[in-house]
Amino acid sequence: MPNKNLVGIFSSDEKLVHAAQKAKEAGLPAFDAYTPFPIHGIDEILELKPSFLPRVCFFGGLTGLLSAFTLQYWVHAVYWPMNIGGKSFTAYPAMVPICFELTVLFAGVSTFFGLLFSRGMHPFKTSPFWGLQTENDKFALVFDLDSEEKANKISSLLNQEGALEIREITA
Amino acid sequence: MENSKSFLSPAEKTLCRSFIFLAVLALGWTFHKAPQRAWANLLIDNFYFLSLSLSAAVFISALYLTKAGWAVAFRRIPEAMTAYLPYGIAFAAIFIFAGIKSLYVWTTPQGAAQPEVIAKAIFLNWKAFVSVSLGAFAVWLFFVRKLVSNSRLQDEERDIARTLKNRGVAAAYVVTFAISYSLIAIYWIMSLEPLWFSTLYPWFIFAGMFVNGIATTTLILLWLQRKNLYKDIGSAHYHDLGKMLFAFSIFWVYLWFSQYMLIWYENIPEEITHFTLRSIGSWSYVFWPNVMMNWLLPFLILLSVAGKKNPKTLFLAALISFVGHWTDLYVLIMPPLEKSGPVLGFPEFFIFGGFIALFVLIFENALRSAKPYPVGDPLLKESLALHE
Repeated sequence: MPNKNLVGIFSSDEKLVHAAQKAKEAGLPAFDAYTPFPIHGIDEILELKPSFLPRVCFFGGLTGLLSAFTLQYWVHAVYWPMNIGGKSFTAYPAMVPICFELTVLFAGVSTFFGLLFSRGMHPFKTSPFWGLQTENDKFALVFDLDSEEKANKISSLLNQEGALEIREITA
Repeated sequence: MENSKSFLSPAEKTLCRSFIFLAVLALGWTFHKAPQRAWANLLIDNFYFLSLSLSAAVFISALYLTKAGWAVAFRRIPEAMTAYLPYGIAFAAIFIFAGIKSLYVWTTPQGAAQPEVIAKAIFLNWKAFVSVSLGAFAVWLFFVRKLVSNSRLQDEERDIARTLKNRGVAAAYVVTFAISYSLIAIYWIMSLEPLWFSTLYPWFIFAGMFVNGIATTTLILLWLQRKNLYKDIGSAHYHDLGKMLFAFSIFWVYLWFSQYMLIWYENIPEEITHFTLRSIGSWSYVFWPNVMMNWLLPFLILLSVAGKKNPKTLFLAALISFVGHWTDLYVLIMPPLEKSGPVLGFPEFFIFGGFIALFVLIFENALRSAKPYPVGDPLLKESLALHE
Protein backbone atom coordinates (compact mmCIF):
# COMPACT_ATOMS: atom_id res chain seq x y z
CA MET A 1 0.00 0.00 0.00
CA PRO A 2 1.52 3.35 -0.95
CA ASN A 3 2.28 5.56 1.97
CA LYS A 4 1.20 9.16 1.79
CA ASN A 5 3.52 11.75 3.27
CA LEU A 6 3.33 15.45 3.88
CA VAL A 7 6.65 17.25 3.58
CA GLY A 8 7.39 20.73 4.93
CA ILE A 9 10.45 22.43 3.50
CA PHE A 10 12.34 24.95 5.60
CA SER A 11 15.16 27.36 4.95
CA SER A 12 17.16 26.71 8.15
CA ASP A 13 17.87 23.98 10.67
CA GLU A 14 16.60 26.11 13.55
CA LYS A 15 13.21 26.52 11.91
CA LEU A 16 13.01 22.79 11.24
CA VAL A 17 13.88 21.89 14.83
CA HIS A 18 11.34 24.39 16.15
CA ALA A 19 8.63 23.04 13.84
CA ALA A 20 9.40 19.44 14.81
CA GLN A 21 9.19 20.39 18.49
CA LYS A 22 5.87 22.19 18.01
CA ALA A 23 4.43 19.30 16.00
CA LYS A 24 5.43 16.86 18.71
CA GLU A 25 3.74 19.03 21.35
CA ALA A 26 0.59 19.22 19.21
CA GLY A 27 0.44 15.43 19.06
CA LEU A 28 1.27 15.28 15.36
CA PRO A 29 4.83 13.94 15.48
CA ALA A 30 6.96 14.07 12.37
CA PHE A 31 8.70 10.82 11.58
CA ASP A 32 11.75 11.85 9.59
CA ALA A 33 13.90 14.78 8.53
CA TYR A 34 16.10 15.24 5.46
CA THR A 35 18.83 17.80 5.97
CA PRO A 36 22.11 18.79 4.30
CA PHE A 37 24.04 18.12 7.54
CA PRO A 38 23.34 16.22 10.76
CA ILE A 39 21.30 18.25 13.24
CA HIS A 40 22.26 17.54 16.83
CA GLY A 41 19.31 16.72 19.04
CA ILE A 42 16.82 16.04 16.24
CA ASP A 43 16.81 12.30 16.99
CA GLU A 44 15.36 13.00 20.44
CA ILE A 45 12.59 15.18 19.05
CA LEU A 46 11.71 12.68 16.33
CA GLU A 47 12.05 9.85 18.87
CA LEU A 48 14.19 7.87 16.46
CA LYS A 49 15.25 4.46 17.70
CA PRO A 50 19.00 3.97 18.13
CA SER A 51 20.40 2.64 14.88
CA PHE A 52 21.69 -0.93 14.60
CA LEU A 53 24.64 0.31 12.52
CA PRO A 54 27.16 0.37 15.41
CA ARG A 55 26.61 -3.38 15.80
CA VAL A 56 27.00 -3.95 12.05
CA CYS A 57 30.24 -1.97 12.22
CA PHE A 58 31.48 -3.94 15.23
CA PHE A 59 30.80 -7.38 13.82
CA GLY A 60 32.10 -6.32 10.40
CA GLY A 61 35.33 -5.23 12.06
CA LEU A 62 35.52 -8.43 14.07
CA THR A 63 35.06 -10.50 10.90
CA GLY A 64 37.84 -8.53 9.22
CA LEU A 65 40.17 -9.04 12.18
CA LEU A 66 39.54 -12.78 12.39
CA SER A 67 39.77 -13.37 8.64
CA ALA A 68 43.03 -11.40 8.39
CA PHE A 69 44.48 -13.37 11.26
CA THR A 70 43.28 -16.74 9.93
CA LEU A 71 44.56 -16.02 6.43
CA GLN A 72 48.02 -15.02 7.61
CA TYR A 73 48.27 -17.80 10.14
CA TRP A 74 47.24 -20.39 7.57
CA VAL A 75 49.64 -19.06 4.91
CA HIS A 76 52.66 -18.51 7.16
CA ALA A 77 52.36 -21.36 9.61
CA VAL A 78 50.38 -24.10 7.83
CA TYR A 79 50.30 -23.93 4.05
CA TRP A 80 53.66 -22.42 3.06
CA PRO A 81 55.99 -21.92 6.04
CA MET A 82 58.93 -19.69 5.11
CA ASN A 83 61.89 -18.57 7.12
CA ILE A 84 61.88 -14.77 7.04
CA GLY A 85 64.81 -13.19 8.83
CA GLY A 86 64.95 -16.09 11.28
CA LYS A 87 61.62 -15.06 12.77
CA SER A 88 59.09 -17.58 14.04
CA PHE A 89 56.51 -18.81 11.50
CA THR A 90 53.84 -17.30 13.74
CA ALA A 91 55.45 -13.90 14.23
CA TYR A 92 52.41 -12.04 15.51
CA PRO A 93 53.69 -8.42 15.40
CA ALA A 94 54.17 -8.76 11.64
CA MET A 95 50.50 -9.74 11.30
CA VAL A 96 49.17 -6.67 13.10
CA PRO A 97 49.19 -4.19 10.15
CA ILE A 98 47.16 -6.56 7.94
CA CYS A 99 44.77 -7.30 10.80
CA PHE A 100 44.35 -3.58 11.39
CA GLU A 101 43.74 -2.80 7.72
CA LEU A 102 41.23 -5.58 7.22
CA THR A 103 39.40 -4.61 10.41
CA VAL A 104 39.01 -1.07 9.10
CA LEU A 105 38.06 -2.22 5.60
CA PHE A 106 35.43 -4.72 6.72
CA ALA A 107 34.01 -2.33 9.33
CA GLY A 108 33.75 0.49 6.81
CA VAL A 109 32.30 -1.52 3.94
CA SER A 110 29.81 -3.39 6.14
CA THR A 111 28.64 -0.10 7.66
CA PHE A 112 28.14 1.35 4.19
CA PHE A 113 26.05 -1.59 3.01
CA GLY A 114 24.30 -1.78 6.38
CA LEU A 115 23.25 1.85 5.91
CA LEU A 116 21.90 1.17 2.40
CA PHE A 117 20.04 -1.87 3.70
CA SER A 118 18.55 -0.06 6.69
CA ARG A 119 17.20 2.68 4.37
CA GLY A 120 15.94 0.10 1.86
CA MET A 121 18.18 1.60 -0.80
CA HIS A 122 19.94 0.07 -3.76
CA PRO A 123 21.57 1.52 -6.91
CA PHE A 124 18.42 1.15 -9.05
CA LYS A 125 16.09 2.86 -6.64
CA THR A 126 15.40 6.57 -6.26
CA SER A 127 14.17 7.85 -2.94
CA PRO A 128 10.76 9.55 -3.16
CA PHE A 129 12.23 12.38 -1.12
CA TRP A 130 14.92 13.06 -3.71
CA GLY A 131 14.87 16.41 -5.44
CA LEU A 132 13.77 18.56 -2.48
CA GLN A 133 17.11 20.44 -2.47
CA THR A 134 17.86 18.86 0.91
CA GLU A 135 21.34 18.02 -0.34
CA ASN A 136 21.77 21.72 -1.02
CA ASP A 137 20.29 24.36 1.28
CA LYS A 138 16.80 23.15 2.22
CA PHE A 139 15.57 21.22 5.24
CA ALA A 140 12.63 18.82 4.90
CA LEU A 141 10.42 17.55 7.70
CA VAL A 142 8.35 14.48 6.81
CA PHE A 143 4.97 13.54 8.31
CA ASP A 144 2.91 10.42 7.89
CA LEU A 145 -0.55 11.09 6.46
CA ASP A 146 -3.47 8.88 7.35
CA SER A 147 -6.43 11.26 7.15
CA GLU A 148 -7.45 14.51 5.45
CA GLU A 149 -8.21 16.11 8.79
CA LYS A 150 -4.68 15.43 9.98
CA ALA A 151 -3.30 16.81 6.73
CA ASN A 152 -5.04 20.15 7.29
CA LYS A 153 -3.76 20.40 10.85
CA ILE A 154 -0.19 19.65 9.84
CA SER A 155 -0.38 22.07 6.91
CA SER A 156 -1.52 24.92 9.09
CA LEU A 157 1.15 24.12 11.65
CA LEU A 158 3.84 24.07 8.98
CA ASN A 159 2.58 27.37 7.58
CA GLN A 160 2.72 28.91 11.04
CA GLU A 161 6.29 27.72 11.43
CA GLY A 162 7.31 29.42 8.23
CA ALA A 163 7.64 26.51 5.83
CA LEU A 164 8.69 27.65 2.37
CA GLU A 165 6.66 24.96 0.70
CA ILE A 166 4.40 22.05 1.63
CA ARG A 167 4.29 19.02 -0.59
CA GLU A 168 2.41 15.78 -0.61
CA ILE A 169 4.63 12.86 -1.59
CA THR A 170 3.51 9.29 -2.10
CA ALA A 171 6.16 6.77 -1.27
CA MET B 1 31.42 36.87 41.24
CA GLU B 2 34.65 35.08 41.95
CA ASN B 3 34.41 31.45 42.89
CA SER B 4 36.41 32.09 46.03
CA LYS B 5 35.10 29.18 48.10
CA SER B 6 37.50 26.27 48.02
CA PHE B 7 36.24 22.98 46.71
CA LEU B 8 38.76 21.13 48.85
CA SER B 9 37.64 20.37 52.38
CA PRO B 10 40.15 21.13 55.18
CA ALA B 11 40.68 17.38 55.58
CA GLU B 12 41.53 17.02 51.90
CA LYS B 13 43.96 19.92 52.10
CA THR B 14 45.65 18.31 55.08
CA LEU B 15 45.81 15.04 53.16
CA CYS B 16 47.46 16.80 50.21
CA ARG B 17 49.98 18.54 52.46
CA SER B 18 50.84 15.32 54.28
CA PHE B 19 51.35 13.58 50.94
CA ILE B 20 53.75 16.33 49.91
CA PHE B 21 55.53 15.94 53.25
CA LEU B 22 55.79 12.16 52.76
CA ALA B 23 57.11 12.72 49.23
CA VAL B 24 59.80 15.05 50.55
CA LEU B 25 60.77 12.40 53.12
CA ALA B 26 60.79 9.67 50.48
CA LEU B 27 62.83 11.84 48.14
CA GLY B 28 65.31 12.64 50.91
CA TRP B 29 65.64 8.97 51.82
CA THR B 30 66.17 8.01 48.18
CA PHE B 31 68.74 10.76 47.65
CA HIS B 32 70.58 9.38 50.65
CA LYS B 33 70.43 5.73 49.57
CA ALA B 34 70.36 5.85 45.76
CA PRO B 35 70.73 9.34 44.28
CA GLN B 36 70.32 8.11 40.71
CA ARG B 37 66.93 6.59 41.49
CA ALA B 38 65.85 9.82 43.18
CA TRP B 39 66.82 11.93 40.16
CA ALA B 40 65.08 9.49 37.84
CA ASN B 41 61.90 9.71 39.91
CA LEU B 42 62.10 13.48 39.91
CA LEU B 43 62.50 13.40 36.12
CA ILE B 44 59.56 11.01 35.64
CA ASP B 45 57.13 12.85 37.90
CA ASN B 46 58.11 16.37 36.98
CA PHE B 47 58.07 15.58 33.27
CA TYR B 48 54.69 13.92 33.75
CA PHE B 49 53.04 16.96 35.31
CA LEU B 50 54.94 19.51 33.22
CA SER B 51 53.64 17.69 30.15
CA LEU B 52 50.14 17.64 31.62
CA SER B 53 50.14 21.41 31.95
CA LEU B 54 51.55 21.78 28.43
CA SER B 55 49.10 19.34 26.89
CA ALA B 56 46.24 21.18 28.61
CA ALA B 57 47.42 24.26 26.71
CA VAL B 58 47.57 22.24 23.50
CA PHE B 59 43.99 21.15 24.14
CA ILE B 60 42.88 24.77 24.64
CA SER B 61 44.77 25.75 21.48
CA ALA B 62 43.03 22.98 19.55
CA LEU B 63 39.68 24.37 20.70
CA TYR B 64 40.58 27.87 19.52
CA LEU B 65 42.07 26.74 16.24
CA THR B 66 39.14 24.52 15.27
CA LYS B 67 36.63 27.07 16.60
CA ALA B 68 35.17 24.24 18.67
CA GLY B 69 32.46 25.04 21.16
CA TRP B 70 31.81 21.76 22.94
CA ALA B 71 34.50 22.06 25.61
CA VAL B 72 34.30 25.80 26.24
CA ALA B 73 32.03 25.31 29.28
CA PHE B 74 34.77 23.48 31.17
CA ARG B 75 37.75 25.20 29.54
CA ARG B 76 38.68 26.68 32.91
CA ILE B 77 39.81 23.19 33.97
CA PRO B 78 42.62 22.83 31.40
CA GLU B 79 43.39 26.52 31.92
CA ALA B 80 43.91 25.90 35.63
CA MET B 81 45.98 22.81 34.82
CA THR B 82 48.51 25.05 33.09
CA ALA B 83 49.21 26.73 36.44
CA TYR B 84 51.66 23.93 37.23
CA LEU B 85 53.92 25.16 34.41
CA PRO B 86 56.14 27.58 36.42
CA TYR B 87 56.53 25.02 39.21
CA GLY B 88 57.42 22.33 36.69
CA ILE B 89 59.98 24.64 35.14
CA ALA B 90 61.47 25.35 38.56
CA PHE B 91 61.80 21.63 39.31
CA ALA B 92 63.24 21.05 35.86
CA ALA B 93 65.79 23.81 36.43
CA ILE B 94 66.94 22.14 39.67
CA PHE B 95 67.13 18.85 37.80
CA ILE B 96 69.13 20.32 34.92
CA PHE B 97 71.67 22.11 37.07
CA ALA B 98 72.17 19.39 39.65
CA GLY B 99 70.90 16.09 38.27
CA ILE B 100 72.02 15.49 34.72
CA LYS B 101 75.48 14.24 35.70
CA SER B 102 73.97 11.33 37.61
CA LEU B 103 71.45 10.32 34.91
CA TYR B 104 72.92 10.84 31.45
CA VAL B 105 75.77 8.58 30.54
CA TRP B 106 76.99 10.98 27.82
CA THR B 107 77.91 13.56 30.49
CA THR B 108 80.50 11.22 32.02
CA PRO B 109 84.03 11.05 30.54
CA GLN B 110 83.71 7.34 29.63
CA GLY B 111 80.30 7.85 28.09
CA ALA B 112 81.44 10.86 26.06
CA ALA B 113 84.45 8.93 24.75
CA GLN B 114 82.29 6.42 22.87
CA PRO B 115 82.60 6.99 19.10
CA GLU B 116 78.81 7.12 18.63
CA VAL B 117 78.56 9.84 21.27
CA ILE B 118 81.49 11.76 19.81
CA ALA B 119 79.68 11.77 16.47
CA LYS B 120 76.63 13.33 18.21
CA ALA B 121 78.69 15.67 20.37
CA ILE B 122 77.50 18.77 18.54
CA PHE B 123 74.02 17.93 19.80
CA LEU B 124 74.73 15.94 22.93
CA ASN B 125 76.60 18.34 25.13
CA TRP B 126 75.89 20.12 28.34
CA LYS B 127 75.58 23.60 26.84
CA ALA B 128 73.17 22.54 24.12
CA PHE B 129 71.07 20.63 26.67
CA VAL B 130 70.75 23.67 28.94
CA SER B 131 70.15 26.24 26.22
CA VAL B 132 67.48 24.15 24.47
CA SER B 133 65.74 23.60 27.79
CA LEU B 134 65.84 27.28 28.69
CA GLY B 135 64.56 28.23 25.24
CA ALA B 136 61.70 25.78 25.57
CA PHE B 137 60.80 27.13 29.02
CA ALA B 138 60.68 30.69 27.68
CA VAL B 139 58.47 29.72 24.74
CA TRP B 140 56.06 27.71 26.88
CA LEU B 141 55.73 30.34 29.61
CA PHE B 142 55.14 33.13 27.12
CA PHE B 143 52.44 31.47 25.02
CA VAL B 144 50.64 29.56 27.77
CA ARG B 145 50.35 32.67 29.94
CA LYS B 146 49.03 34.66 26.97
CA LEU B 147 46.39 32.01 26.25
CA VAL B 148 45.14 31.92 29.83
CA SER B 149 45.29 35.66 30.50
CA ASN B 150 43.43 36.48 27.27
CA SER B 151 40.69 34.05 28.27
CA ARG B 152 40.43 35.58 31.75
CA LEU B 153 40.44 39.17 30.52
CA GLN B 154 37.53 38.28 28.26
CA ASP B 155 35.38 37.67 31.35
CA GLU B 156 35.30 41.42 31.99
CA GLU B 157 35.51 42.73 28.44
CA ARG B 158 32.88 40.39 26.91
CA ASP B 159 34.42 41.06 23.55
CA ILE B 160 35.19 38.66 20.73
CA ALA B 161 38.56 40.42 20.21
CA ARG B 162 40.20 38.21 22.85
CA THR B 163 38.99 35.05 21.09
CA LEU B 164 40.45 36.26 17.81
CA LYS B 165 43.71 37.17 19.55
CA ASN B 166 43.88 33.74 21.16
CA ARG B 167 43.45 32.06 17.79
CA GLY B 168 46.73 33.66 16.75
CA VAL B 169 48.40 32.79 20.06
CA ALA B 170 47.17 29.19 19.76
CA ALA B 171 48.55 28.86 16.24
CA ALA B 172 51.93 30.22 17.30
CA TYR B 173 51.93 28.02 20.40
CA VAL B 174 51.21 24.70 18.66
CA VAL B 175 54.01 25.29 16.14
CA THR B 176 56.63 26.36 18.66
CA PHE B 177 55.45 23.71 21.10
CA ALA B 178 55.85 20.97 18.50
CA ILE B 179 59.48 21.93 17.92
CA SER B 180 60.45 22.65 21.51
CA TYR B 181 58.69 19.61 22.98
CA SER B 182 60.28 17.31 20.40
CA LEU B 183 63.71 18.59 21.34
CA ILE B 184 62.92 18.25 25.04
CA ALA B 185 61.72 14.66 24.53
CA ILE B 186 64.96 13.83 22.72
CA TYR B 187 67.21 15.54 25.23
CA TRP B 188 65.53 14.62 28.48
CA ILE B 189 64.41 11.06 27.75
CA MET B 190 65.84 9.64 24.53
CA SER B 191 69.40 10.69 25.38
CA LEU B 192 69.29 8.42 28.44
CA GLU B 193 70.32 5.81 25.88
CA PRO B 194 72.67 7.91 23.74
CA LEU B 195 73.51 5.09 21.32
CA TRP B 196 69.87 4.42 20.48
CA PHE B 197 67.63 6.61 18.39
CA SER B 198 64.19 6.62 16.86
CA THR B 199 62.81 9.34 14.63
CA LEU B 200 59.28 8.63 15.82
CA TYR B 201 60.15 9.15 19.46
CA PRO B 202 59.05 12.80 19.99
CA TRP B 203 55.72 12.06 18.35
CA PHE B 204 55.24 9.10 20.59
CA ILE B 205 56.00 11.10 23.74
CA PHE B 206 53.62 13.83 22.60
CA ALA B 207 50.82 11.35 21.86
CA GLY B 208 51.10 9.90 25.35
CA MET B 209 51.07 13.26 27.02
CA PHE B 210 48.20 14.64 24.97
CA VAL B 211 45.91 11.70 25.71
CA ASN B 212 46.90 11.98 29.35
CA GLY B 213 45.90 15.65 29.32
CA ILE B 214 42.44 14.65 28.12
CA ALA B 215 42.24 11.84 30.69
CA THR B 216 43.20 14.21 33.50
CA THR B 217 40.75 16.89 32.36
CA THR B 218 38.06 14.20 32.43
CA LEU B 219 39.08 12.98 35.88
CA ILE B 220 39.08 16.51 37.30
CA LEU B 221 35.74 17.36 35.67
CA LEU B 222 34.04 14.24 37.07
CA TRP B 223 35.63 14.82 40.46
CA LEU B 224 34.47 18.46 40.60
CA GLN B 225 30.96 17.37 39.63
CA ARG B 226 30.86 15.19 42.72
CA LYS B 227 31.59 18.40 44.61
CA ASN B 228 28.56 20.10 43.02
CA LEU B 229 30.51 22.16 40.52
CA TYR B 230 29.90 22.13 36.77
CA LYS B 231 26.53 20.51 37.28
CA ASP B 232 25.27 21.65 33.86
CA ILE B 233 27.82 19.52 32.05
CA GLY B 234 26.25 16.26 31.06
CA SER B 235 26.27 13.16 28.97
CA ALA B 236 26.86 14.96 25.65
CA HIS B 237 30.13 16.38 27.03
CA TYR B 238 31.05 12.99 28.50
CA HIS B 239 30.44 11.45 25.11
CA ASP B 240 32.80 13.93 23.43
CA LEU B 241 35.50 13.56 26.08
CA GLY B 242 35.16 9.78 25.81
CA LYS B 243 35.57 9.99 22.05
CA MET B 244 38.73 12.08 22.42
CA LEU B 245 40.16 9.71 25.03
CA PHE B 246 39.28 6.70 22.89
CA ALA B 247 40.72 8.17 19.69
CA PHE B 248 43.97 9.39 21.22
CA SER B 249 44.63 6.19 23.15
CA ILE B 250 44.45 4.48 19.75
CA PHE B 251 46.76 7.16 18.35
CA TRP B 252 49.20 6.46 21.18
CA VAL B 253 49.27 2.72 20.51
CA TYR B 254 49.48 3.37 16.78
CA LEU B 255 52.76 5.23 17.29
CA TRP B 256 53.91 2.79 19.95
CA PHE B 257 53.40 -0.11 17.60
CA SER B 258 54.84 1.66 14.56
CA GLN B 259 58.05 2.17 16.50
CA TYR B 260 58.06 -1.29 18.04
CA MET B 261 57.27 -3.30 14.92
CA LEU B 262 59.87 -1.72 12.64
CA ILE B 263 62.63 -2.10 15.18
CA TRP B 264 61.56 -5.65 16.04
CA TYR B 265 61.41 -6.56 12.36
CA GLU B 266 64.77 -5.05 11.42
CA ASN B 267 66.48 -6.55 14.43
CA ILE B 268 69.55 -4.27 14.05
CA PRO B 269 71.80 -4.43 17.12
CA GLU B 270 72.03 -0.67 17.68
CA GLU B 271 68.25 -0.25 17.58
CA ILE B 272 66.91 -3.44 19.11
CA THR B 273 68.70 -2.89 22.45
CA HIS B 274 65.99 -0.46 23.47
CA PHE B 275 63.40 -3.22 23.24
CA THR B 276 65.46 -6.23 24.31
CA LEU B 277 66.08 -4.41 27.57
CA ARG B 278 62.36 -3.81 28.09
CA SER B 279 60.31 -6.53 26.42
CA ILE B 280 62.36 -9.53 27.56
CA GLY B 281 63.24 -10.37 31.14
CA SER B 282 61.93 -8.78 34.30
CA TRP B 283 61.20 -5.40 32.69
CA SER B 284 58.60 -7.13 30.50
CA TYR B 285 56.29 -7.28 33.53
CA VAL B 286 56.06 -3.49 33.29
CA PHE B 287 56.47 -3.16 29.52
CA TRP B 288 53.49 -5.27 28.41
CA PRO B 289 51.00 -4.13 31.09
CA ASN B 290 51.88 -0.60 29.97
CA VAL B 291 50.28 -1.29 26.57
CA MET B 292 47.27 -2.90 28.23
CA MET B 293 46.71 0.12 30.47
CA ASN B 294 47.20 2.81 27.87
CA TRP B 295 45.39 1.19 25.01
CA LEU B 296 43.59 -2.13 25.46
CA LEU B 297 41.62 -1.37 28.62
CA PRO B 298 40.50 2.17 27.64
CA PHE B 299 39.73 0.82 24.16
CA LEU B 300 37.46 -1.94 25.46
CA ILE B 301 35.81 0.26 28.09
CA LEU B 302 35.13 3.16 25.73
CA LEU B 303 34.22 1.16 22.62
CA SER B 304 30.46 1.45 23.08
CA VAL B 305 28.46 4.67 23.34
CA ALA B 306 27.25 3.59 26.78
CA GLY B 307 30.84 3.27 27.97
CA LYS B 308 31.60 6.82 26.88
CA LYS B 309 28.47 8.38 28.34
CA ASN B 310 28.44 6.67 31.71
CA PRO B 311 30.51 8.84 34.09
CA LYS B 312 31.62 5.76 36.05
CA THR B 313 33.13 3.87 33.11
CA LEU B 314 34.55 7.10 31.70
CA PHE B 315 36.19 7.80 35.04
CA LEU B 316 37.60 4.28 35.15
CA ALA B 317 39.10 4.55 31.65
CA ALA B 318 40.58 7.97 32.42
CA LEU B 319 42.04 6.71 35.70
CA ILE B 320 43.64 3.71 33.99
CA SER B 321 45.18 6.08 31.42
CA PHE B 322 46.36 8.42 34.16
CA VAL B 323 48.25 5.63 35.94
CA GLY B 324 49.19 4.06 32.62
CA HIS B 325 51.05 7.11 31.38
CA TRP B 326 53.08 7.28 34.55
CA THR B 327 53.99 3.64 33.86
CA ASP B 328 54.81 4.61 30.29
CA LEU B 329 57.33 7.24 31.40
CA TYR B 330 58.65 4.85 34.03
CA VAL B 331 59.34 2.17 31.43
CA LEU B 332 60.98 4.74 29.14
CA ILE B 333 63.21 6.35 31.75
CA MET B 334 64.11 3.72 34.35
CA PRO B 335 65.36 0.65 32.41
CA PRO B 336 68.71 2.09 31.20
CA LEU B 337 69.48 3.10 34.78
CA GLU B 338 68.31 -0.16 36.39
CA LYS B 339 69.27 -2.75 33.80
CA SER B 340 68.78 -5.74 36.10
CA GLY B 341 65.06 -5.21 36.59
CA PRO B 342 62.35 -2.82 37.78
CA VAL B 343 62.76 -1.08 41.10
CA LEU B 344 59.26 -0.19 42.10
CA GLY B 345 58.74 0.56 45.75
CA PHE B 346 57.58 3.13 48.24
CA PRO B 347 59.80 5.95 46.85
CA GLU B 348 58.07 5.70 43.45
CA PHE B 349 54.65 5.55 45.08
CA PHE B 350 55.13 8.41 47.54
CA ILE B 351 56.98 10.73 45.17
CA PHE B 352 54.23 10.32 42.55
CA GLY B 353 51.61 10.80 45.30
CA GLY B 354 53.34 13.95 46.47
CA PHE B 355 53.41 15.37 42.95
CA ILE B 356 49.69 14.61 42.53
CA ALA B 357 48.98 16.41 45.81
CA LEU B 358 51.08 19.40 44.76
CA PHE B 359 49.35 19.48 41.37
CA VAL B 360 45.91 19.37 43.05
CA LEU B 361 46.77 22.25 45.40
CA ILE B 362 48.14 24.41 42.57
CA PHE B 363 45.15 23.52 40.40
CA GLU B 364 42.68 24.41 43.13
CA ASN B 365 44.32 27.76 43.70
CA ALA B 366 44.31 28.55 39.97
CA LEU B 367 40.72 27.48 39.39
CA ARG B 368 39.54 29.61 42.32
CA SER B 369 41.28 32.72 41.04
CA ALA B 370 38.97 32.99 38.02
CA LYS B 371 35.31 32.57 37.24
CA PRO B 372 34.33 28.88 36.86
CA TYR B 373 33.00 29.53 33.35
CA PRO B 374 34.55 31.67 30.61
CA VAL B 375 31.51 33.97 30.69
CA GLY B 376 32.84 36.30 28.02
CA ASP B 377 33.43 33.61 25.43
CA PRO B 378 30.96 33.81 22.55
CA LEU B 379 30.89 30.00 22.29
CA LEU B 380 29.87 29.39 25.91
CA LYS B 381 26.17 29.33 25.11
CA GLU B 382 26.70 26.78 22.37
CA SER B 383 28.81 24.67 24.67
CA LEU B 384 26.25 24.61 27.49
CA ALA B 385 23.47 23.67 25.05
CA LEU B 386 25.50 20.78 23.63
CA HIS B 387 23.40 18.00 22.14
CA GLU B 388 24.30 14.54 20.99
